[in-house]
Amino acid sequence: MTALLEVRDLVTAYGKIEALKGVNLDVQQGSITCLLGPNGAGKTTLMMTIAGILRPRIGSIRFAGEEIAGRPPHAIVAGGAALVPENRLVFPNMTVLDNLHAGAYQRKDDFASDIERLFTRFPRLKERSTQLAGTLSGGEQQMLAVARALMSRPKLLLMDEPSLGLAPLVVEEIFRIITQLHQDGVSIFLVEQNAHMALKVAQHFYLMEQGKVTFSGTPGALAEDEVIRRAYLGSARA
Amino acid sequence: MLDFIQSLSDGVLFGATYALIGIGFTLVFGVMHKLNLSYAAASVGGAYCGLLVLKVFAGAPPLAVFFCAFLAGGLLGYIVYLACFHFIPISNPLATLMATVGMLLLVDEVIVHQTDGMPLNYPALFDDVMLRAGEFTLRGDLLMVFVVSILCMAGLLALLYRTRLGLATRAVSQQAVAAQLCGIRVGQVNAMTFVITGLLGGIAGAMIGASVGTLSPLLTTPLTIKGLIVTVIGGLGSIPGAIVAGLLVGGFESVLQQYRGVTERDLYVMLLLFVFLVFRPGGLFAPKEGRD
Ligand SMILES: Nc1ncnc2c1ncn2[C@@H]1O[C@H](COP(=O)(O)OP(=O)(O)O)[C@@H](O)[C@H]1O
Ligand SMILES: [Mg+2]
Repeated sequence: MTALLEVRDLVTAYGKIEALKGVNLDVQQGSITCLLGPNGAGKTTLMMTIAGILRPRIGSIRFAGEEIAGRPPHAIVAGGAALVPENRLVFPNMTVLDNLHAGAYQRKDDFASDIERLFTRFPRLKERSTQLAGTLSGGEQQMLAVARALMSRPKLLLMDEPSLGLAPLVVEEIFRIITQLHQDGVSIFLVEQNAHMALKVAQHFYLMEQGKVTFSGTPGALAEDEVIRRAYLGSARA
Repeated sequence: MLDFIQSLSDGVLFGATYALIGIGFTLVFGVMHKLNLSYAAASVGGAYCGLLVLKVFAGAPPLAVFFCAFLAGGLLGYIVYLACFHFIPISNPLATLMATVGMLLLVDEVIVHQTDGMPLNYPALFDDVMLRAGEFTLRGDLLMVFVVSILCMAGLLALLYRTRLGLATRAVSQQAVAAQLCGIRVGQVNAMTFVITGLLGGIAGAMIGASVGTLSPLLTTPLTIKGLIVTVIGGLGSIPGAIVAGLLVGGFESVLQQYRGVTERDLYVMLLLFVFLVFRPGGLFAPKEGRD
């Protein structure tokens, strides 16, 4: 069985500094795959490289059977992978509705029904549809960033630390949405620091440290690993 | 008192052209966070190109000249984009800036060469019309300049807020990375921004020619400076700011020309800039968000 996303020997550098030093990982079709790792490990660099914002130096990224490494971002979105970026990056001086329209930029078909459906899923966004995105709370902005990415109807949703800086209740809400999206058939590749929450939803885990993948396994294997447990789940055994 | 009102109104009407030039600077800055110093020169260049119509059809109406200036401005905008931004590393802020300075000098030189440095007559509409209210008069050609400029601004705002290209332009200016993640091609948006501001610049140059009655190569430097002053007073990146500041600077310089003479007036415009830099460095409408 081939994976939806296959990353092989990927190297991405900022100038002379290699942030990714040969990364290998897979995201299976229909799965939630989670990438853990400390700050500065290279998780955001990996996401940005998959999304086409950064160009890899060497290596391969196969998505849905096609080589996409080095392709520009608009080609990646058109191919069916959308990134919810770290820190959300909503368009602050545009209305919520315009943010969603921007997300549908490449769509040629009628997407009014998509907006209706997203508004049912995110009622807060409907209430605030004419408000400027910069005036929303952090949680609402995260919902908007997810909704904006969904406007392109992705097969694979890449999410870079969606719970960053959000209150616990909002984090639960975000994870509830992730589960729903997964049930609707979207494959999800999630970067998280919150391993406790991720353990409840993801089927496969990777750990990245200093630009390399240092662990790959199921939630069970993750919880069994003494070192990881101490670093990411607190030392006490659950 | 009448003199004051008269020169103020003349100045505000003419200031609409400054507003257009200011919009050109501010829009490119808003989208790319870069200054295009050749903008005012290219705008004057576009206005000169408008005169080519008269070479081909001696009796062509002024509207044809204006329209040709409009198109030539857009073309020049695209050339400036290619020459100064497309092939030059964007990440080096000085490289593009110096390229636009080079382009400013080049356009200037071409104009001087082609015209032997002599001013050329520029056609106008309604230049024989005078609206009178007692002693107070409104020049028909200035009113035309004002109305055309305002229509261009309305067109620009409609483009920005009612079209797909406008949505992409606003997205890139607010969050370029997120815009790319939405599938928007930043390079295309940048190029279109230069074409659109070029079109506006061509019209602005033509309107300046029409209200002064002549075009001269001596126009480019002061217009560059006025455009930058309008941009700073309005708030870098703010279109409403550029509009208000353009009218303000136009009225202000006209009043000072009335009372202090044409040789002194620019001194006071500089002083106005200085006052803004000290007391309101962000300008009238400083955009709330910076980058990111
Ligand atoms: N724009 C950049 N320029 C130079 N170095 C960067 C840049 N962005 C990230 N880095 C470096 O690359 C490494 C990986 O960063 P990042 O991918 O953001 O990690 P993570 O998302 O896992 O916290 C870090 O050492 C960071 O300092
Ligand atoms: Mg990160």
